[in-house]
This record gives sequence, C-alpha cells and structure tokens, in this order.
Amino acid sequence: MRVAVIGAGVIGLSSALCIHDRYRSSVTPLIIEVYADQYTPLTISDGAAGLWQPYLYDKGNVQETKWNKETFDYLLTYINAPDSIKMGIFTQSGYNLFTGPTPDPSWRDSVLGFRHLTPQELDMFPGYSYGWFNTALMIEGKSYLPWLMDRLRERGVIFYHRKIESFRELVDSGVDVIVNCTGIRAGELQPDQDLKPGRGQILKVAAPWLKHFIITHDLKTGVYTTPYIIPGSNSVTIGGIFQLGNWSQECNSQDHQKVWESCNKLIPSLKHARIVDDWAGLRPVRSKVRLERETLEYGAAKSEVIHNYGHGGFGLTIHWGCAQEAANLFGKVVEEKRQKAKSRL
Amino acid sequence: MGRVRVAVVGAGVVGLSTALCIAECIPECSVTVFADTFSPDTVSDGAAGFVYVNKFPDTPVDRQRRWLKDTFDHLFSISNSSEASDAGVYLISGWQVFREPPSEKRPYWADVVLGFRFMSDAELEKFPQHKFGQAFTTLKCECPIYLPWLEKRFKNADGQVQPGRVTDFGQLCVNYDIIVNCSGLGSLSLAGDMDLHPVRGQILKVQAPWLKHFIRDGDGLTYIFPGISSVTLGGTRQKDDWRLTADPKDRSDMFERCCALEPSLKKSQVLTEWVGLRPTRGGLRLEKEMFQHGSRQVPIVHNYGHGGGGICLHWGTALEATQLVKECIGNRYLASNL
Repeated sequence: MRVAVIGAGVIGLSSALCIHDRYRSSVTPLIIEVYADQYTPLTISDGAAGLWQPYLYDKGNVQETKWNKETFDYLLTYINAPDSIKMGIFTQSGYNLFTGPTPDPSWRDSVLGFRHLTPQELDMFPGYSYGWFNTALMIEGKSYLPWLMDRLRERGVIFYHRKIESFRELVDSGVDVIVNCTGIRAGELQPDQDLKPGRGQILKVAAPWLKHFIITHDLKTGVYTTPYIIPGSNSVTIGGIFQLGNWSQECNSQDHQKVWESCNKLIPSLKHARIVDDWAGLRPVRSKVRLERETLEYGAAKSEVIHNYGHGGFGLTIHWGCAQEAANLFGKVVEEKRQKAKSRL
Repeated sequence: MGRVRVAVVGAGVVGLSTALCIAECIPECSVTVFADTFSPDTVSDGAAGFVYVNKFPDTPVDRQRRWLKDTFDHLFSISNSSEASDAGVYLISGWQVFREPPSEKRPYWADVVLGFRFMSDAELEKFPQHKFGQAFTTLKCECPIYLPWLEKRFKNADGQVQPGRVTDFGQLCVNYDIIVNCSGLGSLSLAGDMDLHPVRGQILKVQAPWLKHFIRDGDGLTYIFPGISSVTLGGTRQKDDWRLTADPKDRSDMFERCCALEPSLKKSQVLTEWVGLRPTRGGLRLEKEMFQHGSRQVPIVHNYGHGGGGICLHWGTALEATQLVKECIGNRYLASNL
C-alpha cells in the first residue's frame, strides 16, 4: 500500500510513525511518503512553547479529552528514558491563574499533583484570586520533530520537499491512502468554513531564573488572550495573543508591546530579561478537531483520505491520541480493502 | 553618645546579611565588615542555596522555625520583585523522596514553604526506589549573585568593607565598640570553640537546562538543585573532614546516585566541581558575650555554626543578632549613665 502524509508538523510526523508502527508487519509492502513545503524548524509545532495543556473545558468533545490524556500518558513513559532530552521531553510545574473561582479543568486527572493554590501562593500574583498548581510535561517541537523524523527515516519513510496543490495530484499518481495533516492550510486542498487562523505572537527571552510556567486566564476574552510565561530548555516563551481570523505571520510592534508589558506586570523580574526572539504563528482553529475518513473519487481513480487537522493551540498536547485514532482509521481502510479483495475471489 | 562603631567579622552570607541588617536598622551604628575571603570564594558561594534545613539537635525547634520563616519571608518578597534576578533569588518546586517513609512525615517547616503536600502514587512512579515523598515549593538564593547584591546595599547604607584576616578579637577592641562574630569555621581559632567542626560537602555543577525541579533524597546525601546557569548535584556529609580538594571517588559516586534519581542527567555536561566545609555545631551559636581586653570589656555578638543551613537561616539570625546588638547599645547607655 502507498500512503502519502501531507504535512510535516507534529501531527503529520506522528501520524506517519503511528501508522508505520502498527501496520508494517501486516501490510506489505507499506510505503509511506511525507509531503511538505515546511519542515522543522519552520513549522508551527516548532514555534510553540511546548507545554502540554489542553483548553480548560472540552465542551462535550470527550474524544479530545481522551486523546489529550493518551498523549500525556504516552509522553510520560519516556520521561526516564535515555532519549528523553533528545525528544525534548521534561517535566515542569506551574500556575494557572484566575480572577475568581473556576471549575476544575477536564484534564485535572491527567496531569500530576493537581491542586488549588494556597492564599500565600496567590499573594504572589496581585489581581488573581484563584488558581491551580500542577506538574505537566514540556514537549519542545524543535527537538521532538527532528526525533520523529529520525525514527521515520530509520523505517524507510521518504520525505518530499514540495507543496501538494490538490488531493487529485496524489490520487492520480496511485496513492492508496492520503493522511491530510495540513493544519491551517487545509482549506487550500478542500474548503473548510470551520477552519480559521488563531494568530499568536510570542517573545523568547533569556530568564533562566524562572522555573515555573504561569498561565493567566480571562474566561470572557478567551484562551491565550491574557499573559502566559513558559520557561523552556533554552529560553522562556512569553505570550498572550489570540486573534481569530488574522492571517498575518509577521510580528507587529503593538502585540510585542502588549505581551512585554503584561508579562512584566505579572513577573516584575522579567524587566531584566534579554529579548532573544520574536515569532508569530497561526493556530489552526476549528470548533473541533477534524479526524475522520473521506473517500475521494476522480473518475476511475479512488483514494481514501484520513483528515487529521484543526488542533488549534493544542497540537503538541493532543498529537499522539490523534495519531493513534488516525492509525485506527487506517486499519479500517486496510480491513475494507481485504474484505473487498476476498469478495472478488 | 556619638556613633556606635560595629565590627562584623566574616563576609559570607551570615556576615554580610548581619552587617546589612545592623546598618539599616540601627542608624547610630557605623558598620565595618572584616574578612579575608569575599564572594565568589566564600563557603556560601559554593552552596546550591536551596532553602531547606535539617534540624539542629541542640537548638529549640521554634527558634529554628522562626529563623527559617524570617529568611523565607525576606527572600520571598525579593523573588516577587523586579530585583529577583539581580539578587539571584527565585522560586523552585520539586520533590523530597524517601526510600522508606520517615518517622516525621510532616516536618516543622511544612507550613513555611509553599504548597506542602505528600506526593501521589502517580508522582512516585518516577522514583521506583522510593516509597514516600513530599512535594513543595521553596526558594533558591544563589550567593555568587546575592552576596554582591547584599554588599551593594550595605555600602549604600554607608557600610565599610575592610579586607584582611582577623586573628584575635583584641585587634578590633581599640577601634570598635561592638564586635559581631560571623566567622563560621574561623571561630574554631577566633573564639576557641571546640564544639565547631567541619562537615565536608562536595558537589558537581552540570549543564542541564531542561531540569526545572529540585529532587532531594530524604537521607540528605543525594540532591539535584537546578540553578540559574547550572544544576548542582550532591553530595557528601563527611564529619571532621578538612580536605578542600575534590575526591574523584566522591564525584563518581554522587553522579551515579543523582542519575539514579534523574536519568536524563546522564546526558548532562559536567562544568565544575567544588568542596565546602559546613561550619557545624550541635546548636547554632547566637548569643552575647563580654570579651575582656585589658581593662576594657567589649561585647561580642556571636552568630555562627549554621552548618549546612547558612543560606536558609541567614536573615532570621541576622535579625536576631541585630536585636542583640541593640541590647548591647542599650546596656552601654545604661552603663554610661550610672
């Protein structure tokens, strides 16, 4: 079988790995190709801070809560493994802050040591009267993606540096299954009114004395609109921008100022932090993740597409659960082809 | 009455903080610090600076707790200010793990640190050799940054610094009204204190910037303390061991023990190693004494014997020493008015 994965962010690469892992013995030959015009370190997954934390509430999308948890559990198994640093995985604890009492999040039992903040802890954050403390995982795209690519190369997966202009292009060339992990640009291959950019802008600063993530929330203005500070292995990411519908990938000075000032207010010692980098990226926002099959027919040529895009600002957080589900869907395709082959005999 | 001339002996974390406290709290004092060693060469400089303390067997627990709380509160307010990185003070969270549950599961300092609780089973899975653990958030105070910051504040309060070794309190009696002795292990000869002895500690500093949590084994021998520019791994507790050079066997042993707690350390790059002698005593000596010099009697406030708890108790003992200095001044007024 020939499988073409479009997109080489965390979703594309992990989907490829999961499918290969599960079906390399039962499907022979299994040829997996990855097509992308952006590879690490230029993908959205690379720019993200890399903190495992879903949105606060799943609003009934219980599947997503399950996939998030599966990803956390999976990454946790690597925490003491020799490859952990190469993968960009490590633990980090920190604070989620609110201006009033807030129901516990959907992920409270997925993380480690979840608890509410004590009055003494809240004293550190004037303006916030309620909050949580927990230990979560960091998964840094700049390390994780190269690690995924190494694993894929070891398995003979071929990478093509090129933009796919249409599904048809691949179908015509004889691809059996397409795995569509095109993130924010999925609309270019198939229009999707539900998919919109959630523009973010961040600063990377040198502040190695900071050892906790600090995420503030304003339930009225929404996720990522208020300051957040996330230390990484190399620098600290600070942000707090979410602009729905803004397609600009350029940094602008107004957002830079907003982030800098609001984060300084939260943590005064940032005043002495040297700014190392600015970056803007488009979160692929959707009302829910599109993870489903579709059959494409162009005349006589037919292909199965597994869509796996629309992960908003939680791609790294949810990737493994989604990759497993994509592999499940792939398994169904394989099964159907077998049944069809049998029924022809 | 005129100015009260105070000589502080020692420029480690105890000496500098005590000198600063006196200079800032007692306006009529002129304070001079005497020391043969300054940052970055003091014992305080090599210590990880992790605010956590073992009990002094001969000091009442509530007195220790007060010193710890005063220090914690002082450092806590610095860590929340814009000066945190200038002072080298910041918050850190992590775990203290025990192979067997300790007799005292909830120590006396549990309500001084932040968010103290017992670790969950899920959290303990990361430490397969350990059956019980405590999770909390405390402070770190890095002396190579903190001591120069203290010294700057001290000089802004008109404090003077005089490099040079003090071999006898008598040297200071002519020109100073009150002596404050923060000489750590130096008090062995300076104060003739036979109770004082070194407890040797060897540490390693490695490059592992992905580590954000402290991990301490409840036995006090193995610990991992992430810092601003390196991670401190330790350690040893060798009583009466005066060796100041690093021992390769100690080094490899502690590295192995730390890697067992945190396997990712195997990928870390070793930067330096260091040895310090903890100035240890059964109880911390914080009290007044009258020193006879010829016909004069000069009060000495002793503030030494902090063992491995210098950084975590420094501000509390500085405050108490300052109080004792005030009492000395009060007595002086009384004496001169008789």
